[in-house]
Amino acid sequence: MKVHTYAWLAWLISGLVVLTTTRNPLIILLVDLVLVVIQVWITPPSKKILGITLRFGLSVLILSTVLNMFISRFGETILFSLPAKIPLLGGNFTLEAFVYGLTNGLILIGIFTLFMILNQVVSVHSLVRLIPQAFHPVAVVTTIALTFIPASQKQFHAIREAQAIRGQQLKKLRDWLPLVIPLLIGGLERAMQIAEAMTARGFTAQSERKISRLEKALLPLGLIFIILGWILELSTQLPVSGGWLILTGLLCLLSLFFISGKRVRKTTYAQEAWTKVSTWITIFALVLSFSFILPFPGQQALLYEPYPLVKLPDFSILHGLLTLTLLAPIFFIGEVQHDQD
Amino acid sequence: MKEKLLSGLIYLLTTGLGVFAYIYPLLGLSKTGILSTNRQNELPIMMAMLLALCTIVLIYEIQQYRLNTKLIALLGILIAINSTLRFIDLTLPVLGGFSPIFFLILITGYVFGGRMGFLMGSLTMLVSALITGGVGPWLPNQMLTAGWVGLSAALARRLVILTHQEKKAGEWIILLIFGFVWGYLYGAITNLWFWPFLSGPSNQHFTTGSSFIVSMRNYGVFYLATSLIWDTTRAIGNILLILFFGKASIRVLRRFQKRFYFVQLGEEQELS
Repeated sequence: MKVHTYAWLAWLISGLVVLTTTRNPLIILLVDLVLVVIQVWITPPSKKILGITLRFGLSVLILSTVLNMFISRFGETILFSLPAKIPLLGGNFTLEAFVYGLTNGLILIGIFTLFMILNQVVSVHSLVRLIPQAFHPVAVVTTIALTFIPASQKQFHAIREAQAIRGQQLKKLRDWLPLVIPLLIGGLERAMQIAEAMTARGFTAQSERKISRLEKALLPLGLIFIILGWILELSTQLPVSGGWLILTGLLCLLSLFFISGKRVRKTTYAQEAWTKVSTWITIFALVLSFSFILPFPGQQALLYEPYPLVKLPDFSILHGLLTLTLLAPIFFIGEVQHDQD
Repeated sequence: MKEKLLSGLIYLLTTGLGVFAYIYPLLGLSKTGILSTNRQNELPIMMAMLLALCTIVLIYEIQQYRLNTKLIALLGILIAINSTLRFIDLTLPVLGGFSPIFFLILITGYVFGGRMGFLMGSLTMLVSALITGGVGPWLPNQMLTAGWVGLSAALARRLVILTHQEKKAGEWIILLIFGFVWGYLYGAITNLWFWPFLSGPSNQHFTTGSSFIVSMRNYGVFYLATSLIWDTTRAIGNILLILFFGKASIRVLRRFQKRFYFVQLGEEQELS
């Protein structure tokens, strides 16, 4: 059964909320394991994704851990020491820095895998469709670019073959000139044709209606509110929180985008269906997000700090079980139909 | 005149906000509020949100007044070509930070103006992320910085005009300097997004509450150790591409720029 793009986005956000609100390595490890299971499940077996993911994960973990051990020399549990006379490298290497670096690595793997999964399950055109109406010229530019990438690649190969027949060899950087310039000229010629075709079919980038004063004022106003709110949030002198000002600024910008989006008529060729599965995945994502943001029992276990002396992290069973709801797509969708390679 | 002032104000505020988003962890602000230890995990997310906001606002502002049918088609095709070129640096990581995309972003901004350059930079990153599965929280950061590369190319154009160096050696020297500097600057700016995130309590890394000079020194050490060689390949790559392909590409773009004038007299200003 198909899952709506918005449901996948809700799932992605819930994963991001978990990964950014906790530093408990056990919870983060659990998230990473769940994500690996999902990635293996959605990828055709022929692509051998497990090996790729494990190799990538291992390299990130090693890099992050080793880097942190070299940079951070704090902590009470000394694993080994190098002579202090060696510049930059000399000093103590601690278990606390190892655990901190390992946790950073696990978070990075989690964030990366979340987006990898999103890129796999949501089509490029569904992602482009997420561009709001207010940005329709940008959406058209993106669509043209996406449509013409295969054509550009094809043109590049054709030019390369033509030049090879003439005896052109690619030995030095300068030899690429007879390839790059025809590619550029061909592309620009095509741009002229597209522009003429769009104009002939009645496409206008800007609507006829005049932009109202309110619309003109909303953009600078929103920015000023956000900047003031940000300054207040960072200021120590004033007891006022800047959160409300930032929110007001964001509301100004959102209303501007809403108003200017209304000027554009949007038609959809094939409407994406909202299924029951999408509802369930969204509900689970909301529950998971709130359980990590709001003060639920066991939330203390989420705040783990290895410095100055490392200890075993506590584990909240409730948060652990809720983390498993990230597996919801597997249970609700069932078997994935992989395309024949 | 009023519209120009308003537009200038928006560019100023957005660029200021973007620069602030990158450097505020280094400013030595106190450990309260968003910079307190227990909220430190929020830092990269807040930064990503601010950068996304800056990118969105700038794109909205530019498309609102500047995009007509011809420019939309031109941008779409140039971005398609540039995204095709991005496969080169994705398939050949041995070349370090070298990427052919900055060359086209720079010369588009140089020929068609800073606004087109900004859109070219930021949308190249968006489209190539869509086709390579590179959508992630790092994307707003890449979009804004690549947009700045294109936006700043208008400064190179101004400099060339001011010094009367058009079609002279000085024009190429200025472009080469821009390409070289952006080779390093792109890496230095994009690092700032994750640098505070990598932090541990160390005197060689980002520490909440330390002074601007200490933070800059720590960042300098980090940059020298992790990015200098990587970014040098990008800077040299930019120089070579401008040196070998710059003249011919700019000539082609200028020829097409003249052909894009054909409809209304009013559009002349948009393209200049």
